[in-house]
Amino acid sequence: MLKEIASTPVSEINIREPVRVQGDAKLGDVVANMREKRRGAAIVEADGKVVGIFTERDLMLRVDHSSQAWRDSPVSDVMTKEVVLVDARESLSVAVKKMQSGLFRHLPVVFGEQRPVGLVSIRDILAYIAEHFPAEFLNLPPDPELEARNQWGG
Amino acid sequence: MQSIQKTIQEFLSEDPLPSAALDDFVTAAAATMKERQQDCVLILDGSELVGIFTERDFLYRVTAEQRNPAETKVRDVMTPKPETLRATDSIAYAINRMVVRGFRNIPIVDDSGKPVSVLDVRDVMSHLNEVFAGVGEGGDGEWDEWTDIGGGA
Repeated sequence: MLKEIASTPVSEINIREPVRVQGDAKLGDVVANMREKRRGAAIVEADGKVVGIFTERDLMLRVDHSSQAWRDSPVSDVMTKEVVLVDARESLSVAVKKMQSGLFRHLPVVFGEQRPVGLVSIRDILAYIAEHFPAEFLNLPPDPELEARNQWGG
Repeated sequence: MQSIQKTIQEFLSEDPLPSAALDDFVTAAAATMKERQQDCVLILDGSELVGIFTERDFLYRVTAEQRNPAETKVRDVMTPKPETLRATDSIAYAINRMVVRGFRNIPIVDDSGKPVSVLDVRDVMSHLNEVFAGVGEGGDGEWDEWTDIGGGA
């Protein structure tokens, strides 16, 4: 069972449509887009390929918030350019290994030559595992304290 | 029926607790998050946990609402009364909340409710990576430990 899960291709996961922007997109618009679509990261593209990623963390740590001027600056100024990608045909174990290598929570998913098809998060992967082990992960009572004290002892 | 072997305790780092006070400005909280390489700070009133402030709160409640972080107090943009777990709880509860509720950081409290640590989704990711890496080295034992918390009860 573990081998099946570990070798499952990323394409089997419910990959969410990412926020996709061009490098010259204004940061204010990118942030509004991320908020509207409830995404923690945006993929930056050029000519149909991934050239960067911009995350909530970049917004907080790399952007100068001392004035509102940042809203008009291009996302390419603060995006991460060295992006670690995962191919949709690669396995979950490879995806997790890549996430772990840089402690990334998100990886752009590509198919072939860096063509982005989505964004996968560690939450998506945990959700997939949970879906395949529903009894183990999801059929939990709402209150762990009650569970711990009444049913499971402790 | 076998209970999961791993508790949250086994996943926690010994890093100092990232925290801020209610009246700290967002810039100070963000500086702490940067320095500690954490995605969140716990907001304390004395030693009492009253809130959590995350990168997501920064996006949704500070920048998207055009607030100046240097003039905004964390009390006005934090998520109040965050859900907590205890270090003795099964890791499965933490994963459940991360999947179902989307939490990336869960404050861990002691029996008196005092915060002692934060469980980061990356802590779970690290373990999953080790479990997956173990596949090639044989056996599903670790995996059973990780997933079997007695489903079907």
